[in-house]
Amino acid sequence: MGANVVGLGLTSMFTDISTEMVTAILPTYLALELGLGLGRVGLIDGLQNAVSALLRLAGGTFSDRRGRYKLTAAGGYGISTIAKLGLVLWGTAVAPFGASLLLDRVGKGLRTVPRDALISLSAHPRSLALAFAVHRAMDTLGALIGPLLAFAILAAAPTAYDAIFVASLAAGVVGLASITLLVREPGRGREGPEPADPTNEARALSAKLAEALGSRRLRRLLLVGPLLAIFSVGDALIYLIIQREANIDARYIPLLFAGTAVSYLLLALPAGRLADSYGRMRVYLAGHVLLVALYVLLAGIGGLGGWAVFAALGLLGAHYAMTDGVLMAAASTVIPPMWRGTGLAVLTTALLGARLVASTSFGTAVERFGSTPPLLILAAGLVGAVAISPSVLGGLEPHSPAASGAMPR
Amino acid sequence: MTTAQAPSRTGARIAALGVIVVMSTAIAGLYVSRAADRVRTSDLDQRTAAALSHVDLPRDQTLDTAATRPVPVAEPSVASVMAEQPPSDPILGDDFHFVQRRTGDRYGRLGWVDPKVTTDRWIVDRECARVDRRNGSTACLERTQGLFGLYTLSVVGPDGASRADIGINGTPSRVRLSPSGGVVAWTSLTSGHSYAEPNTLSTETNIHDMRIDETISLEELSVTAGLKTFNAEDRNFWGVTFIDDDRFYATMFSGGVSSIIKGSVAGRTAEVITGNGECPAVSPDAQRLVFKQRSTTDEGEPHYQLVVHDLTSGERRALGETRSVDDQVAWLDDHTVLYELPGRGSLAEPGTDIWAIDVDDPQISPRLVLEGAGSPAPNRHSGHGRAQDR
Repeated sequence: MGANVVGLGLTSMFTDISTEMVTAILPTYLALELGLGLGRVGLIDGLQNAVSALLRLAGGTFSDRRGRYKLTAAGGYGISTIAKLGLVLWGTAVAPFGASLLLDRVGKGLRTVPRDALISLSAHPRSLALAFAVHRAMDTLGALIGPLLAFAILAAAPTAYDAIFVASLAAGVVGLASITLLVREPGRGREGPEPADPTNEARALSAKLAEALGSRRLRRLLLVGPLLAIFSVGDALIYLIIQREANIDARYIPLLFAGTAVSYLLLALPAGRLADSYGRMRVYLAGHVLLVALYVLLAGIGGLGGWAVFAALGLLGAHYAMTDGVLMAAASTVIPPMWRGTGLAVLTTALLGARLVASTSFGTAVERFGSTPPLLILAAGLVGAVAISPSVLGGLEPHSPAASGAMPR
Repeated sequence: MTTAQAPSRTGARIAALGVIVVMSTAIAGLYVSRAADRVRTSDLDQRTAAALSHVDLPRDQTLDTAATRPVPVAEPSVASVMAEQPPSDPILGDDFHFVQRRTGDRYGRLGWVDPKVTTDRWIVDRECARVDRRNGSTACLERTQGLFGLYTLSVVGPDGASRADIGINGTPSRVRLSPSGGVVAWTSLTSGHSYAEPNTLSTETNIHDMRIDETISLEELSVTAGLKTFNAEDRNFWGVTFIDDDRFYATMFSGGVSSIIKGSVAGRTAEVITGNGECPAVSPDAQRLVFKQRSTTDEGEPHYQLVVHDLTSGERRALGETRSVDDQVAWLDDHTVLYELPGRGSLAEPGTDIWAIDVDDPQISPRLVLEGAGSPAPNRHSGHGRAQDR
């Protein structure tokens, strides 16, 4: 396992601890302690997501053009850490508080793609999926620790939100130090960086995009990924269905997230290993078969016992373990190193778009028809999508011979 | 960075990271423990004065007063403190309960004050985010010190017995009791409440009838405006105020527009009575509503103007408060309302102050009633001879 992958795993773990600590208490803090009205709380929420999506593309193409993946990613982590400092210094005033949150998202948007490109360029091509699994598992661990830490602090010092911001800043600093000290810029795998010419920035950006999309195998992945994502609803909706249909007290919703995270943590590494040896797209498609099983289970969960809730969370975690990092690994083998950031950015943006469509239309359907019919339709659609995927991909070979992303050693 | 240099460099880098981890943990740990001390100090201070204590007067007077007051038995249960009659006649004074919101001073505790009689405030060993009190019953949205920082709605009856104890989904925002104290309504802010937009924040409002132990969500209401019926997908409700145990007013937000609705719990129906209004509060004589009317300032910030709406004539008039009030007001009597506005505070404990304004005369300026407090809850009793409390 590359030192870079472990370094980036540590970086993500500490940064997630830092971010999730704040996220966990954010609605309460904004509404109750800052006295913000509902409208403005919603506005902050919406702005955050829009900014994050746009900056993914920017971060990906920028890091490709300069060949500076570590620098771009570290810059993103740095911006988020500065944002945490803003929370500590100006937490009481609404406008700077909102600006700090926005800055945090800017950092997250910028760093995501260069970081994934960095993982793919640093790992051995035969263990790409395992590398992503290690990174994602550490990331999830951070997302699990963060809220627990925040609530532990609130239990020790009720209403001391400033203490949470200080602890969050400390975790952010450790995350930033991890990438700065442990991660190295990978070999370029190309001629030196292109000279920066601000007048041609926009043209170069679109040229880069066109180049990245020139790969036929990437275009196929860009069909299959979103095709499956169209039938994949977000986990927030799945938790809502479990909570409503299985009649779970609303206060235990965070535990549903924790259950999925534990299942993911247990299965991520075995799934990554399996994907590397047995074939990444095979495991990816198998992961979607689990999602079909989850939909069928959810369709009848109201009449089933408590075991069904555990089974559902287990299936959801296993689905993520077999799909999330695995697709990134598969994509890395078909995107040449010099377009790695741009290609990954296009793919993740397409996936996000497809999931948004899935969640919104599914949500509307559930409001109208109840959860069972839409779930069964999704399951049927997903079965069809999985069935045609091998032919769209043009075969499911275990290893792609060319275009590996190995860092020259 | 050549391969030959790598091992020693790597060792130094890992050591540097170790130092940063230790230092960051130490600084954060120290800060958290000091914050815990800060909170605990105000707790200790509070316990020494038993469950009821005195804040605004010098210490000697505090002890004197406390000695003559009915102090509960040592380590009282929460319910017994809650049920303790306020130490003066609540029917004669303009007394109200509130939540203490003064930095470093029993922040978040439930308190009671009668400003007509004295500026003394009595703080109870009970934390509430919001409080309401009617006919001897107290409803408290309480921060439960659980792992996930959750809230519970608890209602304690005049006899001190717990009448409701309900887990709240999300962050509590409003709570109101019916005049008899038998029905309670609450609003919380939740994220992921809507299937259509799982990651946006929305409100959730429920009404619980404690006499028959039944809860309804306002989402179940069929709402009409003339011939138009509002469908179920695009509706948000908040800010209930009760006329009696069945009829109530509330805010409905649908299609980007807020309106005031009048509903019936038993009928599961409601109708829109007027537009552009949020968080109504019905007067004790049920003749008027005070609510906030939203507009946008030149800077694009929302401004909430308090207005009084005559239910008979349908006329609407602005109150003499020019500041933006983002609160559901509470009627002290048929002519005065109380509300909170941001005051001085710190990061961890943002303060609020309680203000009062005359509803009848727009020329009279608002007056500061209680500094460092919020969520005013006048102690109105029904069946105790107050004509307006029908």
